Amino acid sequence: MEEENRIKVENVCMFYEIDPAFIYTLDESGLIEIIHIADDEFITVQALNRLEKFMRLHQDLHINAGGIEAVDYLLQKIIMMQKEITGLRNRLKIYE
Amino acid sequence: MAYIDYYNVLGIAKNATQDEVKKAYRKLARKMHPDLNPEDKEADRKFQQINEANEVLGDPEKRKKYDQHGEHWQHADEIEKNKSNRQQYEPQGFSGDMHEGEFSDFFESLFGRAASGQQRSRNTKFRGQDYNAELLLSLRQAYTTHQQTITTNGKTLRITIPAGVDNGQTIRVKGHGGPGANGGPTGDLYITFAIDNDPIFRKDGNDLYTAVELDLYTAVLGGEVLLETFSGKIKLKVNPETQNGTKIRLKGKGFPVYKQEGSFGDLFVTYQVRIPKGLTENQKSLFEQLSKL
Repeated sequence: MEEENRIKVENVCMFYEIDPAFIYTLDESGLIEIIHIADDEFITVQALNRLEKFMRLHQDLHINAGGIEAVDYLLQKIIMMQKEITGLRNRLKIYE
Repeated sequence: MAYIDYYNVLGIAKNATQDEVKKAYRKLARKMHPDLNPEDKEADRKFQQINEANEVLGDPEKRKKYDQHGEHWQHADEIEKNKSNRQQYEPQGFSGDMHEGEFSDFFESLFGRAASGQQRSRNTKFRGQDYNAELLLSLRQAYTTHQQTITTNGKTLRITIPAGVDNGQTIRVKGHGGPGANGGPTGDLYITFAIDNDPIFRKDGNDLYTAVELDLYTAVLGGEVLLETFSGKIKLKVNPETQNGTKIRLKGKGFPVYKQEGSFGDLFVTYQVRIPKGLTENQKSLFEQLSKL
């Protein structure tokens, strides 16, 4: 993986002012993935979006890691269903 | 500028305690949080209102001011006159990076624009939410680079769709997602294409497949048939004694390769020989003669 596509967990925690334990818990739940290279820990830049969302859920709504896992699962289901509805609506328009 | 009844927004009584305000806010925020309501503009709007109500009623000083002036919002002139007095409520050293439109005009007229950035639980810049949309295209549309107008989340957008997009392929339109928070960048829009089945051509990768009917005489004696493709008509030479189910490959006449201009897949044509129906007595007799040769 190219260096510019990853960011040190340490730097992420410093920038967002969050406890590293929060990221480790998300990693344990499989919600984001920590990459270990030598003695350093990284997350991908792509995973930052998800991390930001989980931080908002945690900080704004006081949802713990278990709750975030359940919410994330249901949100993915909602997004898939929304996509399916849009697709079906588009197909229906052909016959209207 | 419309008066906003923050008590009503949070569904609490005017004499609610600070604890009750907090409880009501949390309960509503959990329902309306934008991260829990993807691409729901209405939930987004309501969440802003709830946030604003909490910003005011959750702060005893602001709540006092709101209770004093809030209901008399019509006397905007008086409020304007007292604007200089209001400056004392504004925090010093405001960075000015608050996202515009996050608080209502009503809120800002009472507390000043700067106040809307005060006492937020954090001021980290967050990237806006990514939006998802699906766009249905016919195979013919997907064949050529073209522009299309799509409406997503109330915004109309004109995008160029490159030739060769595939069913289920997603492209990113940068900066057309939700607005960022605390001055963070705007999210992106992800468009997933759904390619409708075509009655004539079947697509597999970049190759196209179709069937062409041949009448018996052309199949036996040879000749030419015209095939209408997405890029125009093609004249196909049919060899004599062409068998039913014969497959020919037309190199470079298939589907365009995505983002590789001038590069195309192949077109595979299967000949389907049509046996004539409703033969006249004369034709039957001639076929009989042929069968005896």
